[in-house]
Amino acid sequence: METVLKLDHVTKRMGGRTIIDDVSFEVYAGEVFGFLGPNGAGKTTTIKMILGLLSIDEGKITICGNDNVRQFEEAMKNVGGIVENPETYSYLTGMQNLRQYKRMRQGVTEERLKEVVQLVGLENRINEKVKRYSLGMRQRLGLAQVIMHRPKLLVMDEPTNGLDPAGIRHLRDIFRHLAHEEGVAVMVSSHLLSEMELMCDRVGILANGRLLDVKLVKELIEQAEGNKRIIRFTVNNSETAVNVLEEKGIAPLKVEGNTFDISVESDEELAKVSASLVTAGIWLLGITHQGQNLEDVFIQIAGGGGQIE
Amino acid sequence: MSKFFNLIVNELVKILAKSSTKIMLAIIVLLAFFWNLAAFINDREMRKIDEEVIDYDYIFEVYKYSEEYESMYQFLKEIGVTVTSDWRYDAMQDITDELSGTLRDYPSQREAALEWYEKLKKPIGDNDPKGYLARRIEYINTLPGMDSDTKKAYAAILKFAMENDIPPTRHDSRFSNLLSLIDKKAELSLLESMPADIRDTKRITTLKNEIAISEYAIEKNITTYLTEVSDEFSPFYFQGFWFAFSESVNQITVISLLILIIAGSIVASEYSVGTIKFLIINPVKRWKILAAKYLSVLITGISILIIYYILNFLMATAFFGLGDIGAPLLKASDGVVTAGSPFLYVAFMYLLNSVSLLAMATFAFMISSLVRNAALAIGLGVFLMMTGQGVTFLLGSIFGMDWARYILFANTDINAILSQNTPFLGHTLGFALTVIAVYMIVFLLTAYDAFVRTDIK
Ligand SMILES: Nc1ncnc2c1ncn2[C@@H]1O[C@H](COP(=O)(O)OP(=O)(O)OP(=O)(O)O)[C@@H](O)[C@H]1O
Ligand SMILES: [Mg+2]
Repeated sequence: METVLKLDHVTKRMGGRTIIDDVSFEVYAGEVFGFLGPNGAGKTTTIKMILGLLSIDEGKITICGNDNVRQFEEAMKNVGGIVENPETYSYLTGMQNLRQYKRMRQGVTEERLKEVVQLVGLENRINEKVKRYSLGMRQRLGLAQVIMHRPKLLVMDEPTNGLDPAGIRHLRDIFRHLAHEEGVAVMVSSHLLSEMELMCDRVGILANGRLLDVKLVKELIEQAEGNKRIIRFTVNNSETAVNVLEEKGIAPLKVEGNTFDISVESDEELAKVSASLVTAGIWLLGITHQGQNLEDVFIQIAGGGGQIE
Repeated sequence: MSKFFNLIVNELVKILAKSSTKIMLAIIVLLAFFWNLAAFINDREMRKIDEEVIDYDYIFEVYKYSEEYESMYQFLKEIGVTVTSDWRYDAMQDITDELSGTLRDYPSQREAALEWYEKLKKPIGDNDPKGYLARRIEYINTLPGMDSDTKKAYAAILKFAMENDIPPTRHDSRFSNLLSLIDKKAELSLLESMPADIRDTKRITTLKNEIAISEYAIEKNITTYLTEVSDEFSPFYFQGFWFAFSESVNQITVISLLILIIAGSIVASEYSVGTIKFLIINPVKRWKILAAKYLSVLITGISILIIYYILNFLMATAFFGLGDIGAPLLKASDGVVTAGSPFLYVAFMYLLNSVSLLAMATFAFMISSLVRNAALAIGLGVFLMMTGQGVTFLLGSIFGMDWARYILFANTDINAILSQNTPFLGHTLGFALTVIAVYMIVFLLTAYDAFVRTDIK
């Protein structure tokens, strides 16, 4: 696997605090790499260092073999990225905005511009002033800006911010297409694991400026499978059902109207629970699998309690 | 290199697309229009005074003139003089002034004076300027209380006017030039007679040059021209097209404000909307982006000045026509006169007046990249531009001018320095330009350091 991005013991201090502490990882060509962490973990800071917006206090970052400080221009030729919000010149049209970047990049043709406009679905509005764009349209324009020069590395900070579900899916498809079909290394940061799960091949988990773990999404799922599953029951009388289960020493996680969730470790245990409910004369109206609880795994690894350190 | 050119194109596209730039251009057009309109109205008023219609009814009813003047106006009315620009009006005024002076001061010569009065009046009545001039030359020699040198000089110009068909009226620029020559030559000989240690050599040089220019204009029969009065270094022409066009240079202060706005916001605005991040992550070193921005400010500034120059030319043409367009610019040094193009001269004045603009724009640019706040950068730039010179003089008067001349603002008024009109001793153009260059380098290095080194948070 070809390494496109490499962080080598990177440390960043700001305002007397160590924000990023000795972080190392690699992102390969052809994969979507999720950069996961709770608020304030240091995702944006790391991405800004990769893109040359922030200086690096210790360690180094190489992009396609070029040091992004000492060989800035060479390194940046292969990069496209959006940090936080995609900012555009609101007094220019969409196309004029794209041309600004075309002039700074080498080898972007007019045809290529048309192609990316089409790819992000902005053909009909591209000659309008950006100040009349919605947030989602600006996101799409931002994406067109950063992929026009066919970068080998695409770095996106919280790219799904402000997008509707259809927009998120569209973006996901674009990222997967770029990585899997065109061999781009795509790095995406997020604090929502559910999103990462659908989009990424591999995730790195960051908390308090330290990289806790880098795992294939598959591995994460297995880890979750190995743990407990959440099953949601719908019954005719949840009060009686809860009493029956509590007598057997099983505490429901959540009761809501006629539904309640319990956590089970195996199929056998699930069969036992259902049998005892039926025996107690309760009608089982529905049993649904609530999915692998990756959030649990995440919180377990990141140790988050919602407290920002 | 072509990439750097592209960066400049990018900046210019942004500057042009901003609505503030469009407003600025509109302001410039209006400024040029209203300046020329004001110059036109002023010009018309001045010409009106110049070519005043004589209101005889008013003169006879309201004013109680002495006998001589009463009959002078009667005579003027009889011979059909209606406006003051008629040569006969000036001539009658002259001879009547002289008559009443003689009657007052030398009553014994009454008979002779009255006799001469009638002799001189005759050609005026016949509307014969040559005849009048011929008699006047004779008359000059009889005048009491005038020294022989002055008499000679006066007779010479009258002769010249007679030979060259120049009407003897102050409304004719050649004749008024001839008259001024007498005064200037008199002043010159007075100054030169002073003892060497108190002799005003600067004024002597100026007078010599002015005399040379007047003589040149008279000799070449040039009625409309511009001169650069060397101790003021400003055009010496108060009317019409050239006044409006050359004095438009004074509005460069207003234009400076517009350029300050561009210089102060070009870096800061990228920060305030966050586009700086997109700019920086391109494969272009930061200093190149900064340099492109600075050059774009300069290009815009120069373009605005050129546009203003052209606009003023067009507006002045619209108001005054192209009648005076061929007027030369006469310059003299060591008594040698050269004729140049006043268009170049006005362009040069634009350039000189842009020096402080350049320094202030660079200053605002530095602040813009230092504090990343457009309002602060523009505000500080404008504030310094308004108060800088005053504060410099104040500091100079407290701590000594010798020290104060190293302050930027002591050096930005190139006009004053060229004409040696500054309180800072030993001020030369070279000194001023060196000081300005040093300041600009410091400004630019500071801007560079701030822009290239800081983290983009
Ligand atoms: N300019 C700064 N000076 C000092 N500390 C900063 C600065 N910018 C960010 N930080 C701190 O660095 C830490 C990481 O911030 P960062 O923005 O990288 O987090 P993040 O993972 O992107 O969070 P989020 O999910 O909220 O976007 C935070 O604790 C933040 O307070
Ligand atoms: Mg962030």
